[in-house]
Amino acid sequence: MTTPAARRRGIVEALNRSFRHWGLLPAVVLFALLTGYPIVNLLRMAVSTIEFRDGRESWTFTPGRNWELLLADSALSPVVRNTLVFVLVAVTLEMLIGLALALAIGAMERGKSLARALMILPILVPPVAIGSMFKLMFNHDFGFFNQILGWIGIAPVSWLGSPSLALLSVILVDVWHWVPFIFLILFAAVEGLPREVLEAAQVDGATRSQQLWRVTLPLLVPAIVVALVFRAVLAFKTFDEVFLLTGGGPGTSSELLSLHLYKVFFEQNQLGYGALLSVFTIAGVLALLVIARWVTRRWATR
Amino acid sequence: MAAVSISRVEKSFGQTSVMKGIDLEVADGEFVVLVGASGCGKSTLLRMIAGLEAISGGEIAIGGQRVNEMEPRERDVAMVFQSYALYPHLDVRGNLGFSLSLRRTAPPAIEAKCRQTAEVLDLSQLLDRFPRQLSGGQRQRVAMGRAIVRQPKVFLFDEPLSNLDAKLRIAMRTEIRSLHQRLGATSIYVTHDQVEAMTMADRMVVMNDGRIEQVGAPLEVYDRPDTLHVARFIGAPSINVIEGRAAGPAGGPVPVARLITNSGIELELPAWRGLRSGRALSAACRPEHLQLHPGGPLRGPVSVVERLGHETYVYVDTPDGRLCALADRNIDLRPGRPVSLAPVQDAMLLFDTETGRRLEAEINR
Amino acid sequence: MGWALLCAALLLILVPFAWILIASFKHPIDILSGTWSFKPTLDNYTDVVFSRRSDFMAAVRNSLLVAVASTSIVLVIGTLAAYSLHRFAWARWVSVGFLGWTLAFHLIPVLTLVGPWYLAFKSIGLYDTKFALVLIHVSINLPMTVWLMMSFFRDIPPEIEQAALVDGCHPLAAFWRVMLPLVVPGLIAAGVLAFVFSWNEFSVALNLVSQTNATVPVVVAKFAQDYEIQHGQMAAASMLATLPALALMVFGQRFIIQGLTMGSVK
Repeated sequence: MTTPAARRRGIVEALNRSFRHWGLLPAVVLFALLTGYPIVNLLRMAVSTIEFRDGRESWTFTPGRNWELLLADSALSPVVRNTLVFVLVAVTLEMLIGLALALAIGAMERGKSLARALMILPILVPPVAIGSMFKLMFNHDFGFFNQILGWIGIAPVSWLGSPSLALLSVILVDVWHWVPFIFLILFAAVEGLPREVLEAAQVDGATRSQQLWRVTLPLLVPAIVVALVFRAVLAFKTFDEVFLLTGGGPGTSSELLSLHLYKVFFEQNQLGYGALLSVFTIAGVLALLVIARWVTRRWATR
Repeated sequence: MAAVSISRVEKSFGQTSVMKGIDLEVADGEFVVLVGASGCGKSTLLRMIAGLEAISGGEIAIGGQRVNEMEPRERDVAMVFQSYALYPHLDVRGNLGFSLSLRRTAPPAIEAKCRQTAEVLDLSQLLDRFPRQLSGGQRQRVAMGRAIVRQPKVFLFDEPLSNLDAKLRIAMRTEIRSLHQRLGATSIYVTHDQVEAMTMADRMVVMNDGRIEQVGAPLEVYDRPDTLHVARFIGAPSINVIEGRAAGPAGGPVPVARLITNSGIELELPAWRGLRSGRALSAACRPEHLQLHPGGPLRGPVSVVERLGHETYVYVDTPDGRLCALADRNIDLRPGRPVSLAPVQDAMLLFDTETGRRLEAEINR
Repeated sequence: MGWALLCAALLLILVPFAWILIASFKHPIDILSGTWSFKPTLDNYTDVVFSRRSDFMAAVRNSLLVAVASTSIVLVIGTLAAYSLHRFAWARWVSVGFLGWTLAFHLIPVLTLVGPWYLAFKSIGLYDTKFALVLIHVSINLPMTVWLMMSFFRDIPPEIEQAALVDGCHPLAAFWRVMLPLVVPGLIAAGVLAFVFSWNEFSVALNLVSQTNATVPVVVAKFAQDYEIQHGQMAAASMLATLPALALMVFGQRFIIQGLTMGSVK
């Protein structure tokens, strides 16, 4: 006969023994359901055509059709090109500016916490609001940028309306959005540099420039690489700002990968083709990740 | 090689003055140790010499040249840091040759110098290793090698042995000392360990609270400490201090000054004359000058017996505090056993309790 | 030099907000003419907040519900998972597998999965519910929460936990009474970040919920999407959407910075 107290103890014992399992289980289960299962579904979707009739979906197995759609998608190659250009240019700019800021502010004596505090603002603002804000600022007639250009005597520019500038505008907004993030990571790394090593370099005879290039930067390389790879892969996710700013236009001049996926899925309603694209995108991102890790491994042990 | 001259140096952080009136002359080729407790200012002074801290007042000159306004790299000094501060991204060879490569010395010359220095410090096998792959003692030697390669005017050491274990510390002490003898380099060495100071210094500089208390050769400072602080700081186990007041000479054939301790015990002070009665005094006596002597004036039960192998120290709880006496190595004493101690008269030191300064004995023996 | 760059950077960051703030108080005519002297008006704000078209307040309610719910859930299961991974020895394939998969998921564009999510939730009748959104937000924020909490757990000296066990604690008690209180800063950091990212989340909310369940970002987007773009309202909506971020910046910046820098330098 077990008393209520003994039963309680028994339950507690059981919970303790299985803690390691049920601690991890909810996360694993939820994650598997919400990410693993959909990915498996993606593969199924990629070889099917999905239509909605009378509010119900019907699946037809059509392995070749989505391929044809892909090959026939005239927007695909500009989108891929745009995305690569975007990632390359935006991330490079963000890294350079972020690094410069981290080094410059790291060398300051006061004002560092003020800098850090203000830098987190762009990270916290909803990307949609950022897109919305800059859409107004890029406005051809009354926008901030054209106002400034007007003050120095340059004719108003169609930032969002001209094919040649649309992508650039998107890049600029992305740089504004993410430089603070890079700054925060690199600034933390700069602050974490061993002070005595830098002093040793000073005593050993290094000029400011030599200290920077031969000690500080080499010591920052691990953090820089992490920030770079992280940001670069994340850059492929960009959606909110582009959606707001240009919607991909004019034409496809500023359409990025995520936006294209959106259009295929929800404007063209091509769920099967969209799934195929998704599969390729995921594979591409994972491949990028594997390559990045392989490269950094090689670098670290050279 | 050069002499270092420190005159009327002051240091303040903001409004707070932490150091004032520091004067010190380090001769060319001398090994000077700055020793003191944490916070006494020794590291700050060293860093001012290196140029890593600004000099708030006074002047520091190296080789006769004023360096107050010079950047560290212009002063031609080398520093060995407490944490070694090796360049993590360079191997040992790279660390040793870093300063030379900064001056754009030709690679073959750098290589030759590195090899040479590595030989001296027994690092030749480790030239291709990185700091993270080295032990504490090896890193320490690389840090020294880095300094030696530069052949600077002055070597500065900032507590380089603090992070090593006891045995290694003792081994490195002698290594640094023999290196100094070989290179004859002007060296300023900072430590909080008075044993290091005693064993390594040509001259010791005992610092306290931003001031220099005493400068002198180790034995001189040991035998004739200028202040009570120095007497207490130098020497292990610590010197025994008994507080009391001077008393007029007792009646008798030879009038001899006496010390009445705070617990009422009378100690004779034959070496001093003319002490004002009632003056607060601290009598200090090193353990080796306090002997177990039946009938001695200081009595109490044995508290702890420490046998170190070559020596044995006996701690006795007397009414005037716990006193430490050096005893015969094989002595058989148990805690609790009552004993009496007597100080060796010649070796007793007297300090004015208020000023902390030592009183000179009137009779020279 | 540092000050110059800092000032330039601060200006660049603050100027857009300042400009939009000013614009949000302008009449449409003043916006279009780009004048700097104008009579301020609150019309834009009242339009946005009380407009029947957009039902801003409902969106705020929705965002709040979803953010609070998803943050609470992700903190609980994320912290438990992080602790389990940190404290107990798992086979390599488990820990590397789980953490690797969370990393991969974090890097994949969310839109690749919106399609399958759409179908899946539709088929179980949960399409266009806040519940679906909460679940998805939990998965989106789970990677970051787990890593963040793991790094905070790692920062605690192992001796403390061992002392607790020696003192007679069950693993559960050790977790609840010793480890958890010690990682409160981490919980706050992770919580703040999870809340912010849930609040800001757009791509999923756009496609998986309709008007009634719309969140704030969706509503903000609406103002920029219409044919007749209401510039004033756009500005006002943007400003309103930024308010939570501003509040958090003032009150939670220490934790946010800790969270962002720790979470990334895994």
